[in-house]
Amino acid sequence: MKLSRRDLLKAGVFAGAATALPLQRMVSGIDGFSRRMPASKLPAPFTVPFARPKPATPVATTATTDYYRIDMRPTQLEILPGFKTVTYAYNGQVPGPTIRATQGREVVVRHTNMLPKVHDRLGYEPWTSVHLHGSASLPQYDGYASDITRPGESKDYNYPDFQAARTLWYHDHGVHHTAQNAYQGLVAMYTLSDPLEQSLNLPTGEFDVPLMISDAMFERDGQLLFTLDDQSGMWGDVALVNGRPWPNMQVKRRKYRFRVLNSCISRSFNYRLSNNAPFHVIATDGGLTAQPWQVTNIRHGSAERYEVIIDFSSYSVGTKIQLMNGSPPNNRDYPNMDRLMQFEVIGDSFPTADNNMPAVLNPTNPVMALQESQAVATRNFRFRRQAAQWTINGTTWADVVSSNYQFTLADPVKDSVEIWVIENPSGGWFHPVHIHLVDFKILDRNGQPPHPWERGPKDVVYTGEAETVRLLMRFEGRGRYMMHCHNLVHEDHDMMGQFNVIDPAQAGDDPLGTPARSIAQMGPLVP
Amino acid sequence: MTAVVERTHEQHTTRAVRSTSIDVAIGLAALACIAHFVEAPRHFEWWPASGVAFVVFGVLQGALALALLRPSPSPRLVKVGLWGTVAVVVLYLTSRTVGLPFSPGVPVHGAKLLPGMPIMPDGDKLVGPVDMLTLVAEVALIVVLLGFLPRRARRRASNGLMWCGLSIWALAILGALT
Repeated sequence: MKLSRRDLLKAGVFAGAATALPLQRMVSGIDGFSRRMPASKLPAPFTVPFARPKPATPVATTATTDYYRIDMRPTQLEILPGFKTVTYAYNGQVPGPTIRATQGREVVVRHTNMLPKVHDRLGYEPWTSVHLHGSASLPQYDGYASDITRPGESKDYNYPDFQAARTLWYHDHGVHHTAQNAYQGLVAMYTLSDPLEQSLNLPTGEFDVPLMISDAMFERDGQLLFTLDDQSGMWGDVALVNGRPWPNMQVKRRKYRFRVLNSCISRSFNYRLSNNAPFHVIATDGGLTAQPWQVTNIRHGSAERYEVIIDFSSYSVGTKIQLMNGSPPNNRDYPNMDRLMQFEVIGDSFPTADNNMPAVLNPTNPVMALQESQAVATRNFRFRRQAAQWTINGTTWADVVSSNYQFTLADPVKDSVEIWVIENPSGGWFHPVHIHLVDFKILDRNGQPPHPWERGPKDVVYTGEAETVRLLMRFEGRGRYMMHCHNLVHEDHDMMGQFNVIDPAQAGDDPLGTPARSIAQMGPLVP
Repeated sequence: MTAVVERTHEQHTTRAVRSTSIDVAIGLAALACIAHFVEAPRHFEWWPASGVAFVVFGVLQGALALALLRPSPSPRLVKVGLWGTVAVVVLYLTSRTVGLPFSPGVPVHGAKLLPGMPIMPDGDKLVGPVDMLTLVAEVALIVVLLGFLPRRARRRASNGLMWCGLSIWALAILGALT
């Protein structure tokens, strides 16, 4: 070893150059987490009262249609007690206002992007696209990722509401920024009712409760901390239910209908009640199941909706039951993410008319009546990380964009029935796969029957590690629609594709055919 | 007599330092080898080509560690080890900055196919503790190997390293490495 000072100096030039940039990246990564609010500053679980999203009020109503205006704006809200957090909110609320729709009445929503030109912390342009998740909307109103609304623009979305009763949600879907936008608050519920559902006397009013469950992480100053964890996902250390951290909900001694939506960016849950009591699944993404399915747990991926009945009638006043989370594999766990909220039984009186859970719900749902023998084609879709990207059959949304939006993964014929096989070959992550437009029936998972909670019409399927799931669906509608992973970080990093429903009699509408316009160019909302 | 004793002492000291340096080089090469093998499965799943590259790097660095066990490593071996490690470091630096040019995903990375609509808005190429440990081990290995070269070869190699380093700094300052 005979290095002179000159040799060392020259080698040092190289050593410094080789390590400086990676070191800077590592420090900035660590720095992100170093800004994280310490657990000691977070509220203790079950000390914050439960709250429900407020309903949206139509600005106009005609014989056939309800009209809404929803603005997306930065809004300061108190999520953690004592801190003001800047959110991106629909009409100043996180979650946004709930739209309550009725089958047969159309809804038109004017969504206006009043967000800043550039996000002050994340440095991106918050363009948006609003997807009404669960609706068979026309392609141009479906929240096609590249059909963006830039800050200062508006777009009217028309929702047909002809489908069966269900729990839907509207959320941002803007290409490559869905995770950031949704994380900051651009999510809200939308419920659709129909005569069948209304005839069942299910719990209603205050006993029909939305639970939008998500997670978040905060900086020391109370602002949302957004990390990508090597593009695997965004994993928060605070459980939020309807935007409240680990809330405590007072419940009366009767049945409640909970519409449970996992609105996390990436996290999945495995729910159970702390006393391991059974509860009943009465509806899935696409609406009511044939009958209530008794379960003691539910594995719940992003964007899936499960409606459950929990009966508190047998508990004495003062009983406290927690909704727990047995975290499925490949989530990032933090203290207290094993619990989500608490139910505290109180003795107040209640109406009994809707304290009901019929033994039969919707036995004739056409999706659940589909038979495998009706399928005219079987298609395979492999969701995997490949070539530094999240891909579907080796392709990404970049392939769609570079084809001028013509590239498709499948071209089913209108009204045909097909089997789609969704495969996740990895053991390192899970993919909640969402197929737009359709409801589907899960045939099997790795050759086994679907889980009890999945025995209803679905539009998102949890594709766990090394799982292959077979789905059966009929393609009603026409045109190009998206399919993608609903881990929004995967989605933003291009795990998206599209299929084209071919109608030999008529071309489908162009998903980019009704673009957003500047606010000044918008005409009257009501014709 | 005193001069002979001093020279012998110096030779012993030089040999001892050299022996220690070789031990250090072996340790650093072995560390880099193990790190590459440990990371290979994850990278293989992410992108098979990168997984294969990790295995190849691990094998080569393991072979270097074994070759350095020989009593007196040849200048040729040292040169191959040094510049091979430089290549691995530069490749890593590329992957964490502009991206690997032969990765299928990279050509569209950051490109704008439609006005104002990037295909991929970010490329946050995170650097973890294992990355940094391996990188530091490799850079240290380069410096240690430099010391094994004969005087003239060492001067050439140190000049080469300096120019390589200056080029990286220049690219970084010009904003080409982001």
